Amino acid sequence: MKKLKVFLNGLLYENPTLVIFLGMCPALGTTGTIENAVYMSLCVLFVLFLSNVIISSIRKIVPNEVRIPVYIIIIATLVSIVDMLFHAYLPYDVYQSLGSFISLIVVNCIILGRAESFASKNKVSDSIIDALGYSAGFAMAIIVVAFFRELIGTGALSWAGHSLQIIPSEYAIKLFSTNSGAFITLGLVVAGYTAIMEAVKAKKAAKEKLAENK
Amino acid sequence: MLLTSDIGQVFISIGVVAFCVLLFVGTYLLNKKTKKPEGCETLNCEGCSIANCSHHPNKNKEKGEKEND
Amino acid sequence: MELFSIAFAALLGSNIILSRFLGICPFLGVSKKTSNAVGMGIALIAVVTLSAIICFFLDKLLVALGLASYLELIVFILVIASFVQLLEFFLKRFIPSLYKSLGVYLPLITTNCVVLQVCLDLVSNSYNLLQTLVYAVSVAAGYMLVIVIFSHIRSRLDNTAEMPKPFKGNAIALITAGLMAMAFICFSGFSF
Repeated sequence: MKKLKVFLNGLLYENPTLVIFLGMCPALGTTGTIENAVYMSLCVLFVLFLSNVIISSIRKIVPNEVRIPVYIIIIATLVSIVDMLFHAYLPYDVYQSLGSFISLIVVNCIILGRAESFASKNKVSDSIIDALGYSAGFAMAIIVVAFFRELIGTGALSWAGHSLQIIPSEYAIKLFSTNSGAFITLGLVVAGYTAIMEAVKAKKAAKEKLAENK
Repeated sequence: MLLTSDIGQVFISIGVVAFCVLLFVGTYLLNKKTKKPEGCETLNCEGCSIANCSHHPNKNKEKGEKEND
Repeated sequence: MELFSIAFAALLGSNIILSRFLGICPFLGVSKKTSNAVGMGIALIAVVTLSAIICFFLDKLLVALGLASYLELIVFILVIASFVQLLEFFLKRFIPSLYKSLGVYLPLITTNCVVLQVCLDLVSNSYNLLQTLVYAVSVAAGYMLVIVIFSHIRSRLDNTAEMPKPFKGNAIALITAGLMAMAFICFSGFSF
């Protein structure tokens, strides 16, 4: 039960992109197409998972004084590895359009934040769940943003060269594929998410009140 | 000649990275050991939710209470 | 002319925040007050410029050793982080008055992607020292320009504007940044 709570905490209640606003750069920069967003999420999953596992398993060895440098070194090494792996195995145009956002995971506050506030204090198994929860939360947020941007901006959804036209391209709103569209879509998604969470919270509170009155 | 061979490259890279690591750890400790000047002890920044920043207001609170969160 | 073109593109044409989406976390966090935005901007200009110069020579050294492509990232991030630590130490020890006004922003800058990105850019664009200098200053100045303008908008947004409740805070800030990005599109067509 506690594991589920840890997972949901990352996915919903403390969603890194939509609630605590960390790691916003890839949420704007890699959401032009769903394909980019999915590969970016994979990248973050890989780094966050391994960094949480490593940091959690060495948490008793690392002296408290130098823990932040140690975390930064571990994360930088992992990101270098991911960068080389993706360079070798990803479709070239996807790698090209993700560009430096892969290298910049190294300064992404989600990874260091999780290392510092969760993995350094908890068991390996819990840290794995935490990593999965947070990367799922990140993935959910950026894939939703990418979905709306691609759908409204081009009228089509595409994957690896195949595309499915949903809205006739004359009716697509180009703005949403541009830079300002990224900011606006993310803003709207954040507002929508906040509204949903508020509504769920209010419903829960009302239910509890009802139960109390009975 | 050793420097341009493959194995030489590996040793050089290890050396370079080790040097950088030592540099970082050294400067980190140097900075941490230096006390903040007068009037700056309670310098807090409420800008963002980067909890591992040394000016984040939760820094001191967090140590005791947030064990399992 | 070439230098002007680099400076213009970095400052306005492809602004680091609005069209390259970097340094968004501090952009949203620090822009709540104008004084904070100015402090962050000045600290960032100093750090970006100095670390770009350091990385420029470092890259030359790495190339000379034949290691450039695969050690670049880890060496750069470690050296930038050490440099920021050293700078903070130096300010604490010798110039406490400056530390008081800018010290808060220094640890934040280590996790600011702008610094790393500028260093990676100057390698991939193979700039010379003068170009590096101009590029670094104008990228950071572009960051400061946007964050200061935005903090003015934001102080009105948070205090006086009426909006539906879920939009309060960062949601409306992002949408406003989107409108600003739209305004900045007009700078992107220039070529010199």
